[in-house]
Amino acid sequence: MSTSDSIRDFITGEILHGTLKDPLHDQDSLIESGIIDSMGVMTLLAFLEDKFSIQIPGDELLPENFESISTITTLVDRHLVR
Amino acid sequence: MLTSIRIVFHQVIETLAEDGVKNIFRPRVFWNRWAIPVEMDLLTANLPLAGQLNNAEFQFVEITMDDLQTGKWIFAVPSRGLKALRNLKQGFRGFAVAKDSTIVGDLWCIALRKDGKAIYHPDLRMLDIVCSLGDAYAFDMLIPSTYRGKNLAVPLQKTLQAALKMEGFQRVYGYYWEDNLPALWMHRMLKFKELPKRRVSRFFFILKSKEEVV
Repeated sequence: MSTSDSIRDFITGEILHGTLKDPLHDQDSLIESGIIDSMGVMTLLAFLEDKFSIQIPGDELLPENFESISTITTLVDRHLVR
Repeated sequence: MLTSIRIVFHQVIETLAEDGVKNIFRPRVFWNRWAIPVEMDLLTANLPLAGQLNNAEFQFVEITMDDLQTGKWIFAVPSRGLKALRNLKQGFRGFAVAKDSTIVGDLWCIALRKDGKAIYHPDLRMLDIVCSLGDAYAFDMLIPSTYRGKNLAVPLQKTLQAALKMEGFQRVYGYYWEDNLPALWMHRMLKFKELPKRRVSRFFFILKSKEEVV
């Protein structure tokens, strides 16, 4: 399963609890739209660090890095390479 | 003094109930914790008009002494109600999110008075911030755990900022602890400008604070 699919599955299943009617696309707004709030970001962060065995430093906890599945995937990939 | 003792008593009970014994002393005893001072330029901030943030479930209000004395509000967290009375008597201003007649989150600020007389707050020494005329300092925000995750923190901050901006204030300071991720996230969502962080150690009333050397 790709990074973006793992992230998508987690968001739709564990954060949104399957309440989203339409599928979540890579470019869909997550933060600005309110799909994910601050608690959701913290839950997502814990998932990303555990699932991908990465550590995301505080200076990268920026709304723009969590705005969409695409930007989250880029963030994860950046840390996977390291 | 008695009020302060009552506040601490309630805080201990509330902390024990929510976080357990180990977190009772956490706010007052710690070593090498990073505080991130922040500032917001109100002149350029995009803020809502009064009442725009209210919805069917929650309303965002300013807490007044009259309201407390007439019993308009009850506080979901008892210690916050006691703190509100004490804060208002000290000249601080309070903003809150209310569900019906219950305050379910509050945030405080101090501002240089129009007569030029500053109101002191110990955080300003820790953060090495000097407020000038037109500046305010926002502090001590709490949303009880049962009301977290409902997108209340950002609108509560915006309510305070909008009120200050309307009164001609130009800048509001604040801070968050680097290890407090929800606070970190809220400040970044609001696009506060982060100032040089400070390493802080505290043992009850003994405080040591030093700016990070890059």
